[in-house]
Amino acid sequence: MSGADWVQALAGAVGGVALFDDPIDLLSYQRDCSVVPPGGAALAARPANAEEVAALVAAAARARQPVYVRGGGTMYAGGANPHAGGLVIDMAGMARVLELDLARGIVVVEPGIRFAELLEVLAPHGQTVGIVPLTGPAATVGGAVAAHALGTGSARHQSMGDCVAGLEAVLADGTRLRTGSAACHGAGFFQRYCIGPDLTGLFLGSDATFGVVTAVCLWLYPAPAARASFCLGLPDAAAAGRFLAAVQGCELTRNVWYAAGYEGAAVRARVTAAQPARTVAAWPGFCVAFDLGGAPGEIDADRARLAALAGEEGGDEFAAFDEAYFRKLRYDETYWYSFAGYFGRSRCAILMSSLPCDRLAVFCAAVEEQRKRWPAFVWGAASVVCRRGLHGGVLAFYDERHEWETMRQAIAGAADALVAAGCVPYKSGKLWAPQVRACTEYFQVLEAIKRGLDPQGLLSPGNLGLGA
Amino acid sequence: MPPGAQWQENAGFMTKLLASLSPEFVQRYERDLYHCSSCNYCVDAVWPERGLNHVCATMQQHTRAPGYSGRGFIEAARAILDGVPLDGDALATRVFTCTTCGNCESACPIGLRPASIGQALRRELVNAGCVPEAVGAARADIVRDGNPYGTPRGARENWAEGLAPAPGAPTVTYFAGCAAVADAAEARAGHALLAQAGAAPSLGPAACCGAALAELGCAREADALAAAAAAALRAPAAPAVVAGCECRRHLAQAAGVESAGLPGWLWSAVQSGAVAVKIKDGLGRPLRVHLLESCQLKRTARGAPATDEDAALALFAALGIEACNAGYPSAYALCCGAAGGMPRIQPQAAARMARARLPAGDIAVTVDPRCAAHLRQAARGTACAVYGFAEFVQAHCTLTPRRSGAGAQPQ
Repeated sequence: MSGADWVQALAGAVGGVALFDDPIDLLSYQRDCSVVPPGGAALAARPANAEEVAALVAAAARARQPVYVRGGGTMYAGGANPHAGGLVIDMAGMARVLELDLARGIVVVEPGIRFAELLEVLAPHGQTVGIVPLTGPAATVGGAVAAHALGTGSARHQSMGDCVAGLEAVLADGTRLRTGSAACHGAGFFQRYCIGPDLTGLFLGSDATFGVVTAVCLWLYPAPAARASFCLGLPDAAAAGRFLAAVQGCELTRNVWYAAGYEGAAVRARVTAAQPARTVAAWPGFCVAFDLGGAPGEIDADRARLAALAGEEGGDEFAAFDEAYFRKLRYDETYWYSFAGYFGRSRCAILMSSLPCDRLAVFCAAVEEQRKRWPAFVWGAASVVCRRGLHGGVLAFYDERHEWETMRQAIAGAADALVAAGCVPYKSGKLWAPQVRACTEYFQVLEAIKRGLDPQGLLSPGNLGLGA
Repeated sequence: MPPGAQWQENAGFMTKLLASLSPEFVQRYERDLYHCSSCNYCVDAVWPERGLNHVCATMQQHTRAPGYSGRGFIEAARAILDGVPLDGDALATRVFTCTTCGNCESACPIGLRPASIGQALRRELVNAGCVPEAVGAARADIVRDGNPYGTPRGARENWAEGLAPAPGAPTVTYFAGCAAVADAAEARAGHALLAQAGAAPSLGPAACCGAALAELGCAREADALAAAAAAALRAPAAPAVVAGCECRRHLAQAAGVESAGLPGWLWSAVQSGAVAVKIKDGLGRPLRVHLLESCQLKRTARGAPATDEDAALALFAALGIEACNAGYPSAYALCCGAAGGMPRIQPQAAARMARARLPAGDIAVTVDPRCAAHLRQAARGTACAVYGFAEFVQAHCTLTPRRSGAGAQPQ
């Protein structure tokens, strides 16, 4: 079927769904925030409900056209880029809160709702959700689920998926699957682990390659009564890694809403940018910054315990960084300022990996190697503290018009270097696809699942390296 | 053939393509195009701390096609720069369906300028001869009448009929701008406000300053009108007070005219002790108003210490008037649709935008006469009363000058 024919056939099949086929409109669907090459879809659709999603998937299947799914487009792994053409399903039109059940402690939402919008709904009830990405004004819940989002809440809960009680997805054959307790007709969402293996997990971080998520149930948590930020300076990354392992080992993360580690070079750069007159040469080699939230007495006690644990590794409170940067990041500009900070320098390539705390120094060393190998770029290393382990972010700033190809090579090299250093691909999309293939047995099982659920390779081909 | 345009055969038809951008465009906006991370904040962000709720009025009230958004403008310009010619008519349809409110620029976390890029694309499209019919008609009306509202040129100053000349030398030059034709009552109220506050207003030029043409991308004609208006405004050597927000902005940008808006002028006079303001006797208290933020002011306000809206809020607070959206002025407040030529180009969408801004059954005040006129039209048949700032003050407040020449100096 020619391009024009299948678009026309699909338009006829899906009736009232908003469709966009003008090349100018399709330009906005070609890329996300990553360095992954842009694609070019032939059609984009903005469904209003799960029935329309199912109709779109069925129509695309009949036309044998690939389907890509797009949330806010804020992810930096290339999962939304339609590299094989076809249809992009823009989920932004599905942004309703479907159910708010305070007694069960859950909220069920459509995937296109923005986090900031959801938080506004929950705030009058004194509630929040477990993970809020740093791109909260534009990031969608569905996108966060599909891409293993992290951010505020990672220290308490780990990743987005750990806060999902169940979901609904449209499969390639049009089946509408509900997971968790809602798999049992009439029971509704309230628990995730109910019937045999956890099928919810199949769709978490899958970048829509196994199904199109059409509803997500998130657990609710009380919003913190009080908050306080503070920073600890440590001699180096190794000491910081030991300190963070100790913090996680005694569950001192229960009141930590956000924590991040910054290498000395990043600390000095950020403070110097904010306060040029400041002398920073003798500052600590690594900083761990905390945003605590909870009952005032609890967070005071936790703060003291955190400082004591840092003291065992030669660390101490580091108020200057809190004043110059971290408090502003968390309170004045709130959670999304971090995003602005990353990108303000210029375009920024981000590569996220997972690592245990004891690999923090190795991770920083790997980034240092990249710095030496690609001296034309400004490199940075940052780590988001999780309930267990860390998410290590490699940041590299570049001029997209003139340096994009070179940056792609540099990031590909960094990905190989991180895996060699014992880090694990995180937020897969297409960015990590080559490295995921090296996880042989795991990848073969993923392939088998993909063949079973989507034999035509219709859904998001190329993401995770599957079905390309 | 105009610069930037080329013709290409497409399925038997000749299609006009926009294939290049001017060196000025590239020099000014290249960084924006290539630093954009496609994060979509400018399309649909929800950002309470910055007073944003979905950002783009066009996307909310006209179409969800992303080419109509600020990000769409960036993507389109970048595509052209990357060597991908775009259909001129399709691009013009999108770029000219924009209120130019600048919300998208407020939303960008790294300070990129999608609205300005849209405006610059308008200029490129005008130069390339790719202009929607409605835009061409609006331009012709402005050139013929000196305004986009269909008021004959000779009737422009009807609002001022019967005004007595100020005694003595004028202390301010009052330029009603678009209010003269869009909202004659507000134009007259502005003059009365100045007089009652003790100023001696003379009337500014009876001509269009070009702001409406500038919005349509007709830069050269707009700048020429601004230069002529500026010369007339400077002639009396009395500080200028300009009623229309977009007029004020255009006069400053195109001709370097420093001026005050009515709220800023009045609040400055109150603060200096030159004028006393109080609520009229017999009005119920507390008065409660929705101060509808003018998008143009918002854009001008970026990086500026204060806006006319800030001044209005401060005045209302001093008077004990509750501005019920003061703490969160832009909540759910997208552009009302009065700007950017939207009422001419997409009148139905412009009307939907205005209706979406109106509070239910309450008093709405806006500091921009053009917004007031547009909103008032949308409020017909509803319980919402819409006021321009000067009209509201006239209707609800008493002004008393405390010394001669009170409030003569703008902020």
